Amino acid sequence: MPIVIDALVAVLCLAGTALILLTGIGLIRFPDVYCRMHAAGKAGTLGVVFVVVGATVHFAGTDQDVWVRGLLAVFFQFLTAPAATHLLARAVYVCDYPPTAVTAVDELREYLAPPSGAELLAITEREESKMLTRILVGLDNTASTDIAVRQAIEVAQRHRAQLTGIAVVDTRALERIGPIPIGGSHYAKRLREYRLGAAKIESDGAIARFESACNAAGLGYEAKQLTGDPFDTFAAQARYHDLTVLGMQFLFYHGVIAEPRNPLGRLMKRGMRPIIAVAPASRGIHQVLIAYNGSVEATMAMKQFVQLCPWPDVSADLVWCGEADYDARELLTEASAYCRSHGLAVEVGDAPASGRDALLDYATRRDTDLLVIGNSTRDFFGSFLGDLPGKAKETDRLSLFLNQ
Amino acid sequence: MSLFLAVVLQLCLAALLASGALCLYRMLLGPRSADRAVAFDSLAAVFIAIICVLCIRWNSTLYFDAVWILMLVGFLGSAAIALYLEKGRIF
Repeated sequence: MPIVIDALVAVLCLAGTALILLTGIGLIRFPDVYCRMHAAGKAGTLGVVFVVVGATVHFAGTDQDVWVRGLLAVFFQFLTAPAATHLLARAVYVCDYPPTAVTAVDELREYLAPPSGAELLAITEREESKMLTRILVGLDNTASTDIAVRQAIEVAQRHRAQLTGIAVVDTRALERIGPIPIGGSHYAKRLREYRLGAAKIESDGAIARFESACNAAGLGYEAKQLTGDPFDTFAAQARYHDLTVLGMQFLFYHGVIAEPRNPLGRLMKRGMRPIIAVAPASRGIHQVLIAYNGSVEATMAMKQFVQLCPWPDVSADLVWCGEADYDARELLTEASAYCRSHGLAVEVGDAPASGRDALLDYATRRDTDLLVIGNSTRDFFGSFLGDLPGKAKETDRLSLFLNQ
Repeated sequence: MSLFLAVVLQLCLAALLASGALCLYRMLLGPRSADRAVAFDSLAAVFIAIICVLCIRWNSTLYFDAVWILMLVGFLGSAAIALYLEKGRIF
């Protein structure tokens, strides 16, 4: 029956060829790559299969193993064509090839689509908040530390940061009690034990209060009690934190022995930065005063504050705090432009405040909550830190943001 | 081979060549590499069909193996282009 076979072959070849011709026409006429892929994938596959089956039927009478080769080809075609089309379609979609405007359904969008503008913004916001992920809090049993902890919790919640609270007991300093008179060693021992015990009780209480405050806020935290020199310990811990928060009247020896002078300056000298020293009567940070004198250190302090951005919605004043300089205005204008470009609402202070008292006056007048200050002029900075905790009435609301 | 089948095969060949020309035209036109990849894929299909038709026309199975070899090569080519488009590299 050669005529029947010939007819079958002819029909199969014609059908396959027609489908392949449709593929070519579809490739030219369809509006976008997805439609063209539809034409190429479906019509192309079936067309090739028809033609191959036609050839197989034609040789089936004369050649035995052509069946195998024909079926193999059909099998491969059905195996590879969908996979290739699928891979290509996915790649094209990922490459942000827009479908034609008349496309009605786009189910892949929520899984694979390149992020839109709003999503990109959300991602950058998340990235920005990565500036502040770990906050170190010094713990003692004073009221100012309670306020510092409260403000640290507020900042940590805003930035989704983790808090680390540490209380340091300096056993060596506590045990150092000076010369012991003859026969006094028993009392010396009792004094040592008393001091150590008192410091321990104080620091345990501080940690317990920190933990309960964090638990109440539902915040991730870690609380540690460490022994050693408090300044060294704080500096070592601060190395792996973005920000250190201390109470302004922080007690490094828990009030058991005499406190060191100018503790914040000593911390800064050990390379600890930035520090926020929270004022004992602080009511939250709303108004910020940035003291600027054009020096590298003052610039670093300003930049650190602007970049960390612990309180995004504060308004800030930028004032000149050094000697009167002929280009002070210009420097302040440029610095304020920098702050504004980072999204900080900043005003250039009207009167340049030269000297500490003028700056404090200005801060009081403007109802300032936080003073951003760099170790610009060493004397200025030192006198500032040395005296500030003493000036209770004037500055008990003024917290400090310190950077060297 | 009957005359009828020979005529049909000539017709098929002409149609396949036309389809191949259309694919080539899309390949030249683009506008982007994805369109060219799709056109390349269908051009491979056109070649396979032409080989089959010629096999019947010449009454020889000599080139029949080229069919499934071309299929595999075409698939690998498409997959490689897809990976390249998606990731900027193949491996």
